[in-house]
Amino acid sequence: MRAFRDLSIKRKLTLIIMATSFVALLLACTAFLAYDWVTFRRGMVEALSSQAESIGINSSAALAFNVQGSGNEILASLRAQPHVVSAYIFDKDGSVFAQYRRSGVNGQASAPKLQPAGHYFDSNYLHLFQPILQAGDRIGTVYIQSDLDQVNTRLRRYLMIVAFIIAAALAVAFMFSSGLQRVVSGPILHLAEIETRVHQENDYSIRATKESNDELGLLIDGFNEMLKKIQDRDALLTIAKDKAEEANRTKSSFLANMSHELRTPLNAILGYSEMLIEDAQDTGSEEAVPDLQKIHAAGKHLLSLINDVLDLSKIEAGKMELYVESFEIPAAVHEVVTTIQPLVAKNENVLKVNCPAEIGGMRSDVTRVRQVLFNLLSNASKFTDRGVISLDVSAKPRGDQDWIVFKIKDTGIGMTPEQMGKLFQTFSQADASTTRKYGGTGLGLVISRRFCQMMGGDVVVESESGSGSTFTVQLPRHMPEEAKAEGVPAESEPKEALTPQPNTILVIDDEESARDLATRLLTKEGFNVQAASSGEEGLRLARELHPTAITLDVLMPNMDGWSVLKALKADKELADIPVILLTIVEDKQLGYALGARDYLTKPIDRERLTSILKKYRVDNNSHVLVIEDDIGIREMMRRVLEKEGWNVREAENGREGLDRVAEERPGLILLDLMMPLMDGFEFVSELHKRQEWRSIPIVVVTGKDVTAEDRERLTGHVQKILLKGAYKNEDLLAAVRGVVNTSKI
Amino acid sequence: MSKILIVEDNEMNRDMLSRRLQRRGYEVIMALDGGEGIEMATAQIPDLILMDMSLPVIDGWEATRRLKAASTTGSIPIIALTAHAMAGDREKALEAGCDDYDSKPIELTRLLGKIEAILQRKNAG
Repeated sequence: MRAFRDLSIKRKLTLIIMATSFVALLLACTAFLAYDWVTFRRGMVEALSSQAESIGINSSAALAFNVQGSGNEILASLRAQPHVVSAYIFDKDGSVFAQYRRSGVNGQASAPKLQPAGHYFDSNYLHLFQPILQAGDRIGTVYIQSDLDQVNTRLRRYLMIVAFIIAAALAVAFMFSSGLQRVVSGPILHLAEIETRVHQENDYSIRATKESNDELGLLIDGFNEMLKKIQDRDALLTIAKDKAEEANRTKSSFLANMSHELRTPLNAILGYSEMLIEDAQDTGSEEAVPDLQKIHAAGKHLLSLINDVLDLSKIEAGKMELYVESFEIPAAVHEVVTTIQPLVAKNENVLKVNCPAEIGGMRSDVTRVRQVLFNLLSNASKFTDRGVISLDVSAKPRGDQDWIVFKIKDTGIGMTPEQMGKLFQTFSQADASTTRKYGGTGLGLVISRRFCQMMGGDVVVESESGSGSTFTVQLPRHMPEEAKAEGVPAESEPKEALTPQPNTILVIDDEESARDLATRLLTKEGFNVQAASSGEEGLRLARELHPTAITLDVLMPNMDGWSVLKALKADKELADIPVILLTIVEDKQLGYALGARDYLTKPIDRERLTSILKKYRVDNNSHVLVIEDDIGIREMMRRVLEKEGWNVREAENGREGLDRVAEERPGLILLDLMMPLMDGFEFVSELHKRQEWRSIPIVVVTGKDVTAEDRERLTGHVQKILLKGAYKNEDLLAAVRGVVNTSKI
Repeated sequence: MSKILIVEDNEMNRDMLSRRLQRRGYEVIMALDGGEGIEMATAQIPDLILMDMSLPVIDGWEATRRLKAASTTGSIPIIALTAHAMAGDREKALEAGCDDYDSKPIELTRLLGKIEAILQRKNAG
């Protein structure tokens, strides 16, 4: 049965059909055979009894007259019947009157016991007794014994026929069933195949084809419906997941940025309050000092909280890096102990340190080790009043590693097991009232533990409420290299979203069609493409993804490409990412990109030229350098400039321009972009190589049309130039004025 | 009176640091970016430079490298100041040629200790 259950549907169906046909045929044949057998035997009995009857009639006279020889003669006529084995005639008294025995046959050896009229079968013979009647009186009995060869032969032949019919019928049934079972098995197999494909290809858009309206059709409908639901749900989940990841990224970068932004004003609060304390002490207004100290202390507290948040957000974003170096343990411990002393003394605690000098050095991140120890010691100090805090440092070999164990024990308030359970969870202190009483974010322990894990170790705690706590930090003496990678906690956010992937291109463009086009193009080339629809988003993604390259649209609302470029180049981590500008730039921006102060378009508008000149006129002593290959334009400019009171020098191309600048530093440069020998682009980049020439204001003079090739060259230069100077316009303006002023002195 | 050049783009940090140093008797000159820092250092040869590392135009790393490479300014000690407080920053600063390193927010006593140590070493040498 087990074997049958594991057969394929096809086989099962074929087998079922054949078994059914076989049983039906067998039943039919058996019934037919049984009927035939019974009928045939009855026919045999009838034939035999009519024979016996005629023998009786023929022999009645002989019997009446007791002529034995006549009786035997009558019986001898049975010789014509080959199946009759023996025959007897009994007289009225039951004695044998006549007998016949077929020669050569081992029939009945002696006369049978006389029985009343009737017949019976034994295994080999039919026995028949027929009374001989005369005028209603029984005057004797005829007995005939016949063999069953006829019946048996017939039966054998019939069995052979039945076997043949069944065999033939089964063969036909097999052929039919093999074909017909497909009606049922086909859709099921199709369904199974679709299911496998969905599973293997993870493609829920595949659908099974329905071919009938029966139960299988319903099954396929149901299956398709289910796939559709899964597909819909997947789509929703993907959107939800994307949103969640996006939100998470936003959160992480928000936290990181915010913490950084918060520190800047805090620096001022701390610095100025410190200065006021010094001032107050100097001027003798001592009464202000305690209040100022409170401001300062609160500021420092706030700073430590911000630092915690920043640390945690970095850890969770997988951005925390360890700096592994060799250091002496006693020295590091000593440093922590010195720093923590005031805090220990605050609650009148005593700190006992046991750090044997022979413990030697370890290889780990000393800053983080100190931070962990400081955090644990400051917790111990906070939660202990007039008690003893001890720090024990020991080395303990475990496995093939040498471990350094720092044990920080206090005699403070301790913790219940329930509180201990919550101890290492983000933003949870032992309970809410703790926060009010003792302060802190509750992040310190979480951060300490994550740091320890990153360094290949861990922190464990033992405590009893009311009788103090013991925190044990265990760190490998030599931090394993892979610990850094493993150290990022398992529960941290999906890291892949934040880790740089090779070959990632960031496409920043506000136009959807342009974005899609670039994405498709680059994806086809095997790049991993991320798109941003605004400058802000682009910057955020750039910080998160550290793409291999960035394609940047220049004309975007809110934050344009130049601002993005500036921000990118100002960020030390992003400055090296090559940026490819994708749109044609306006002349004005083009000019600025080159580090130019202003721009002019050809044909030159005199009024505009003079107004620009006025803007840069600081004195009459410095001269203007006109670098322009067209002599007509050069002459025209010279006339305008001289009329405005400028001294003018001329250069025909960039190289000559550089020579002129070297001879005497100009107060202003009017620069054409398209020139032979050395063009405007090259000139600017050469000029900017000399630090002292960078502040010379340049006004770019350009034709309206910038060719694609020029654009390409420009982008290369844009990168270079902005890399060096990502400045604000006002800054530059101020710098230019300053430079022109000093050159006068 | 030792002359200290502060290269710092943040106005408040510049103001605080300069006033506190002046209060302690140092002569202070200031530059707003790396480029200006180089120019001032070259022109005025201060006794010590406090260099912020994230500066516009030319950043602190680059400015330090250039100053250390020039013959006139090569011997001026430079203390790097970074806001990042990352362990690697210290190595990076020393690699760029800085003589010492301190992290922001500035703890004045600590910084003064470093300044004094360097100036003493310089005068002794």
